[in-house]
Amino acid sequence: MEVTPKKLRALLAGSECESSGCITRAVGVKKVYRTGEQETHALRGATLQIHRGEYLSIMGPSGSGKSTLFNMIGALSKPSEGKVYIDQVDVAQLDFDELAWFRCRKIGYIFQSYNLVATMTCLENVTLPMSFAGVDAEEAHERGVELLQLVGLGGRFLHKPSELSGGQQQRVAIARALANRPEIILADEPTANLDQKTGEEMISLLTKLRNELGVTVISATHDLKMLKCSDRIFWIRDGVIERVARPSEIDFSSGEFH
Amino acid sequence: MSTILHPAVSPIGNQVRLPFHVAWEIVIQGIRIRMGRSLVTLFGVVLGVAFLMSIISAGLIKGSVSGEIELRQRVAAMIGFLLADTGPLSGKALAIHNDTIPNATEDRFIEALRREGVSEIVSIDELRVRDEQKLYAAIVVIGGSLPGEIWTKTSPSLSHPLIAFTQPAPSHPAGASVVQLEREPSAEDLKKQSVAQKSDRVRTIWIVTIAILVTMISISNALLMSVTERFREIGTMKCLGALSSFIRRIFFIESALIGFIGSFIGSAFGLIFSLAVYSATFGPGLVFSSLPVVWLTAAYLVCTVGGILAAVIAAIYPADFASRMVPATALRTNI
Ligand SMILES: Nc1ncnc2c1ncn2[C@@H]1O[C@H](COP(=O)(O)OP(=O)(O)OP(=O)(O)O)[C@@H](O)[C@H]1O
Ligand SMILES: [Mg+2]
Repeated sequence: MEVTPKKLRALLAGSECESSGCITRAVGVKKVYRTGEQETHALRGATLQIHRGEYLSIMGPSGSGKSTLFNMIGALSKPSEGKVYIDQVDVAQLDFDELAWFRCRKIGYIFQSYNLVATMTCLENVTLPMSFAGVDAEEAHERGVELLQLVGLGGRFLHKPSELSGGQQQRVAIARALANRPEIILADEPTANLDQKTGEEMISLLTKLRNELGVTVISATHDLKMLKCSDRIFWIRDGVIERVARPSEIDFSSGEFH
Repeated sequence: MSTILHPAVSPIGNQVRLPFHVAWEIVIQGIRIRMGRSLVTLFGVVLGVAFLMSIISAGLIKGSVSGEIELRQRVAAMIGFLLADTGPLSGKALAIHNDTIPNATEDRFIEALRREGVSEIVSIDELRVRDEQKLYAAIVVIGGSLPGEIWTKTSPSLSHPLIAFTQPAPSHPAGASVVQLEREPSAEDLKKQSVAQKSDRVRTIWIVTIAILVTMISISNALLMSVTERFREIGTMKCLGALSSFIRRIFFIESALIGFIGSFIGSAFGLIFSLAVYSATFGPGLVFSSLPVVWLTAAYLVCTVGGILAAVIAAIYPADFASRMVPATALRTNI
């Protein structure tokens, strides 16, 4: 593959990352939203490192900037200030085309509201990112079926998302997120719209994926069950990461840090 | 430099450009599943194009109907005048000479003569060649003139003087009189007519311009709505690795397709509408006997192609806007 000077810069940009164990790194990331006169400082300088194969949770009160951080480290939006490196690549250096390539292969996204394409069947939802990656239709179909079986949606390939329960839709979303064998799974409150039991199933599915496939799971959440399974927890408040903790450091009966 | 070669660093490639049929299939499926919404969009296009087509076709039909009415009046006047000179023509033979009147008028005149029961119509040129002794009821000269002595007569039934000349023509086949039918509009009439024509043309251009604007607005509004509704889906597709060009292509294909179907149906509605209105006013016989088929077909094509173009042009802004959207923003919208 051709390496242009620009790509070279992008590739070298993250080389200070201390080891290959670091998959995502954010340095002094700020994000300001301007709506008319008003400025909202959603992030006020977040610096973090996420290790390869880690199960990481981002926690914080509503409006603290979790989704904003999710967008930054998922290359879905550009920071107002600061740098984001994913897999040692400076995201800001990528053009539209490269960003599409990057999102397609490196990251699998899971959302609170599933965001399945309503006009497509479950299977088509899962094969869509594969066709964007240039996988041929037959192979994509085969892998799509496998993935749906993996998430426990055996015989429902041809249903439309609207014909499925919330938990089933979120399973499709997980299968879709895995389509192109991403290194990172990014989830924004994946269990928020699900009941207790389905939420737990979702969590064990994500844990299983981490353990068996070695993908890095990063999820923003309020869900205590999710926090318990995490390797590390980022506590974010008013746009800054206040604390980094291990689950053992949290008192789960009150939801507070020790 | 060693970091470049680090196994964890995979170089960033160029995203795959999907073939046309992938986008096409997504569009078709989208239209089918969102049938209700697609029909609303389609309706917007149909309405706009139907309006445009009805204005244009009404103009064309009006022109041909008034031409037809004038022609009929004229032929009736010519026949009446001829009959006044010759008496009933049933079973008689006529010679005819035409220099200046358009063939359509002559054809209709001859048709009318046949209805009067004229048994034979010969052209003057043919008559010259024939060397026969036969009684012709008249030599009808439409426009131009025949040499010889002539009398003038004016028709009372026409606003314009219809000048006829008769003479008992000794130099022509026995007993035949020469009737010359020629319409000579006065200079004033000509002036009046050209003023009326000009103001008519100005009005038509004005109405058609308004119709085109209304069509454009109706179409772009419908498409803008359908794009806005899908911001979330666009954001999702981008997260999955869709290129901006792919998103743009999807909207262009959809717009062109809806534009084509909509303007095809819309043109039909517009045409049917103006045909119905004119038939109700002037009677279907008059309208259909003078239907300007070629012009109407051309108008149909122009409106259909125009509708497609309008749809595609109207899609440029929303498609471009959608394709440029930052995924995070697109995903935030809740419609
Ligand atoms: N596109 C935007 N335009 C303007 N303000 C925004 C935008 N996105 C987020 N914000 C603001 O930024 C702040 C952080 O929002 P964010 O969505 O990141 O919070 P969150 O931690 O995800 O909250 P929740 O737990 O409710 O999902 C909020 O005050 C929000 O109003
Ligand atoms: Mg949020």
